[in-house]
Amino acid sequence: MLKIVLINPSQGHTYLHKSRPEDTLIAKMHPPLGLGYLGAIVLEKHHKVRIIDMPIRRLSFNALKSILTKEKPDVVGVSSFTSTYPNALRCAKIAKGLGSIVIMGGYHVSFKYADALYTKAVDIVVIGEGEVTFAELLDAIENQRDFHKIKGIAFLENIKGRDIVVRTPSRERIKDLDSLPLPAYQLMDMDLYARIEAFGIITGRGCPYKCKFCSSPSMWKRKVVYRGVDKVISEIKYLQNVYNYSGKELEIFDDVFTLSQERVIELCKLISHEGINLRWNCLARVDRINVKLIRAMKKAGCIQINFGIESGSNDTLKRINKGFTTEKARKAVALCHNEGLNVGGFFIIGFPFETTADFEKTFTFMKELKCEETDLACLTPYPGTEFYENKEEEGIKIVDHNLEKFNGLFPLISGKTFQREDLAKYMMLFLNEYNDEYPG
Amino acid sequence: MQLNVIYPVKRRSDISSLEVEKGIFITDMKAGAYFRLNSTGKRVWELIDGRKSAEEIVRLVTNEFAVEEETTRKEVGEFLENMKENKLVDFVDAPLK
Repeated sequence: MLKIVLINPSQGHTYLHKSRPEDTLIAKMHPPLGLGYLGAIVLEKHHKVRIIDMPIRRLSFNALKSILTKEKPDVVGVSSFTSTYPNALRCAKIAKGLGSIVIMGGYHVSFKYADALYTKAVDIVVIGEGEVTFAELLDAIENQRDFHKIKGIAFLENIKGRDIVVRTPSRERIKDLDSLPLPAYQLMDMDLYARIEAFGIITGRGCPYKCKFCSSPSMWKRKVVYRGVDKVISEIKYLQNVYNYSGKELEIFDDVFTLSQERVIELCKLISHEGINLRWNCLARVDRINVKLIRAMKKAGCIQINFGIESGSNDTLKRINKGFTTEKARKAVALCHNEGLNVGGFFIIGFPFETTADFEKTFTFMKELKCEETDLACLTPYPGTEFYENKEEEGIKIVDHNLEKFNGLFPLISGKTFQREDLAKYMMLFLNEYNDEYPG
Repeated sequence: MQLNVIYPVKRRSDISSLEVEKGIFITDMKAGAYFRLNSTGKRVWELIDGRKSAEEIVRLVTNEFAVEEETTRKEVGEFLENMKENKLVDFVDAPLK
């Protein structure tokens, strides 16, 4: 039996308002479901496991070191998004220094595995979907087998005095998500997430679209795999009943929840039939919504649909492979409003070919749509996105390489016709008009 | 903060700002932080020109906003302290002539 600690590192120190960082950070805290799934797999394999979510506990690195010193885990798993990667590395260094085997996974290192390995703080990177790979790795570690036959990993091998990155063949996507156990919620501080109504679930993985700013196509290979609706209902009921979460808000984290209309309607019927009492929101596409669907969703407790609308310029929408027009977005938002549903509209400025006139168009469109929640991000070239992989050809110049700032809040690039300062100006305009919550 | 300093206060040169109806937004891209200042904060920000001392800024703000000098001294002091802590302003390393 191995002793394992799984760590979700905190975001970097970038804030909407530096004197009240907690407001920005709390809003983004959810149970780390990826680690929850890994934890459940580890428990099934009869290992001992603990999940440490650093942000919800506001855990310092010193405190983390104390915990790891006391626990002496054989294996430490660390998750990483691009903005959490610098802190993930700090966790890895602490764990490595204490003698644990360090495994890192998540979006960022799935594309930048060599960088992580060459730091020497990370022993193995899990690339892509992690559950099966992680379980096989633990078996190999426990039985002291070598890693070459395990798919979906990367590690360093010393050949003739040189460290070479070994990347094993890609791991196939999990075809039956119902074969996975529910996330190990019992390993997480669920009372803390309940307090800020931050529960969420995943009902399917992947997205078939190919938006150039998104790393999902590279991560999930544009294939969508769904969980059975019965399993989803079981999980929702579990969360509602075990954590006294009735009447509170639940977020559905799927990339595009409404891809399969029949499935969503079936799920909604079951939610009503089972007497589930939750207010929920989801992410959808403006071209994957209709009156029938909206009515079924509202009846089942949906209070808000979030759309990645991205731009007020049809030229931009076309050039980023969004696959719909502003007119489609306009109609979808109106449809939701007519049916009494709130809308979250998410927008991006700073695509490399855009001009400030395009930013203006997006602002005008944003105002016209009158979404109940509006978010604006600066284009951030995350590893794995087309914009990152082809940045030179696309005309993107990354002028700030501090990964902690790779969260959409801060301008990091200049494009063909705009400078970073132009983006900063529009972000300030946006904050002035849409974000009144923090003090002057 | 000691406001009876004779050293002028200056802003960092690489800060972006945007005047808005009720004040001013400033962006510290290096640190990754946005700040919004109200109309008084905006005026103080404008007065930080690398030539005026904190004491002089207090005097000007007191006159312009017709408020008690002690109140202004306390508020401007806190404001400058916050700005300095966030590395947005600094004191010029030479006394005023």
